[in-house]
Amino acid sequence: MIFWRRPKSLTQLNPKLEIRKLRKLTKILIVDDEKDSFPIESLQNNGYTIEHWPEVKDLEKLVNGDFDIIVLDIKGVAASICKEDGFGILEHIKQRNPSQIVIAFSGQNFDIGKSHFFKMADDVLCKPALLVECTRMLDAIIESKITVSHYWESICEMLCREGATPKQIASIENRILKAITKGQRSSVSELQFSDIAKHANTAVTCASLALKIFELTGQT
Amino acid sequence: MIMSSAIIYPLCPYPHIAGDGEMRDGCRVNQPRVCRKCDDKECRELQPGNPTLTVEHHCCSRGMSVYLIDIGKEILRINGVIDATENTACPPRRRKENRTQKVTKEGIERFRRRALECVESIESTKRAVRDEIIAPFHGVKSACNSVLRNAEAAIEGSAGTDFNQQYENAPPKIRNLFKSVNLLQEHIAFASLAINPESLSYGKKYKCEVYKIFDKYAHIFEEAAGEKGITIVRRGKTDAAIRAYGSIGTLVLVLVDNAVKYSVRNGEIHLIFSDKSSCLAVEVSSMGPIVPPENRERIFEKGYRDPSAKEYCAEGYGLGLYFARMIAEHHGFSLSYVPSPLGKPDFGLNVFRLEIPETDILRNEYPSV
Repeated sequence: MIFWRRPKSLTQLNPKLEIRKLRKLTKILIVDDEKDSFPIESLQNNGYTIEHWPEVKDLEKLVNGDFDIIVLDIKGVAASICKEDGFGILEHIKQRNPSQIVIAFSGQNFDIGKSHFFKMADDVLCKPALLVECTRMLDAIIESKITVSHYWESICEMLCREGATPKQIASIENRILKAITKGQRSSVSELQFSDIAKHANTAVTCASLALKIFELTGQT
Repeated sequence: MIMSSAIIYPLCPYPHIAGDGEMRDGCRVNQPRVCRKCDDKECRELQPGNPTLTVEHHCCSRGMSVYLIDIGKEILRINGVIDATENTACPPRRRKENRTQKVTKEGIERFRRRALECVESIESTKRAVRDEIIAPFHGVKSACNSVLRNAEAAIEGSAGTDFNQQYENAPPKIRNLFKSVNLLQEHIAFASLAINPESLSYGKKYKCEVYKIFDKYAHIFEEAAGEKGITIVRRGKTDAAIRAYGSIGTLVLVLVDNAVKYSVRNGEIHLIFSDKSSCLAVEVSSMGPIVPPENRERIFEKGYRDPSAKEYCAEGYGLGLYFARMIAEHHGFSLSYVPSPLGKPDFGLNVFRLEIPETDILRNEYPSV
């Protein structure tokens, strides 16, 4: 992105990226024990960046914003970690990082006792899912959520929850804007969210989201 | 939904007020005269004041005891009795007249515990039965999933840059296989909805074009319709889009499926789109036996099948239209049955009309994905 004058706020930066570029830029994680439930190969052929875990390998990665979208099967993916299996993981993610986009992917949508978990997810995809349905859902989320505004709003929300002052948030915004204008990725990586956020994991998540903002603006 | 606690009413030894508000005799103690003649029936309106108490004692203005008993998901109201120790409001004469109504709080508490055991046992049986039904259903879903992936892979082998193009270029047999799997998947979605109706609002609403949804199901049902010599005709066109949950597909599935099922052989099914300024309407019409006027609303009731439908087609459980209307109402749309008899009163054009109010229609927005 080339700037004649540095924008005053991050929300002014909303680069219009083609869906193909956005698909490539968006990191999607599929957590599903069944090999063929999700059309991973077909989606990869269509330009999506997809990683597949047959079970939950690293809980921290799920809450730290490493992935833009997590498609989470709710049965057979975390029974050894959590009694509630995928449902428990979903609850954990939403408690630790509410801005993390999670699609509940399941064949258990008929389970009456689990309704509140399904409502906790950003979206629900029922097995068996058609390739066109998966594409439609992922593209809709990518177009609406993989934006500078969404990431920045998520950072603000998390920092506010941690008790950051408007001045501290404005300072962070200013530093990100400066780094974007100068094209200095390292300046974003060096941002110290831990000075503002009380919890270490919030600082890590914010840092990861800030990098995503930088990457999005660097794509045009 | 029938509450498990409904079984407690006929087993209750004391006079009580049932879930429908009706005053009933207990299986041991009857309603006293004073309660039968009472016009106020204030015992019906009493609400528990202390959530920590499982048995709450109150006195009504006639001096009779009323117990509010917590039996799990419901409150059971025992009325027309006199508590031996806690009721100080009952005049001595009434107490004497109603000697048979005398109870103790311990006795009531004992009954509550047994009632609760009963309710819990029914609930756990219900859960076990549901699990027994659901367990094999999961296997069906996995199998369908596998067939679906293979059908998609077969289509992806055809020429084209995206799935739609590849589908168009695929051999007819592969296309038919894909349509059949699609239909199977839709029926599984319907079964899931029937087991858990709450799932109709799971997920987010998506922008979808009305014409395209109906067109999709017309394609899916082409083969089944063709077997009866039926042609599906689209009339009118609309570019209007709506925001809808995934369950909207089940609504269209039911309407087109019913039209194919109850249409005469070699007939036509018409999908008529009329896009006016006040609302968007889609009619699914087909020739066949029509429902008599007195039963036309009943076809949307759960489990109801009109005799005319049973006679024409043995299959069916009376669930489709019930869920179709539930989905329509959940979206704020209306679904009605407006048949027109032709010659005979029991035969004519079956018309199901789906109306979408203007406020729910998205016009001239970005294209749908």
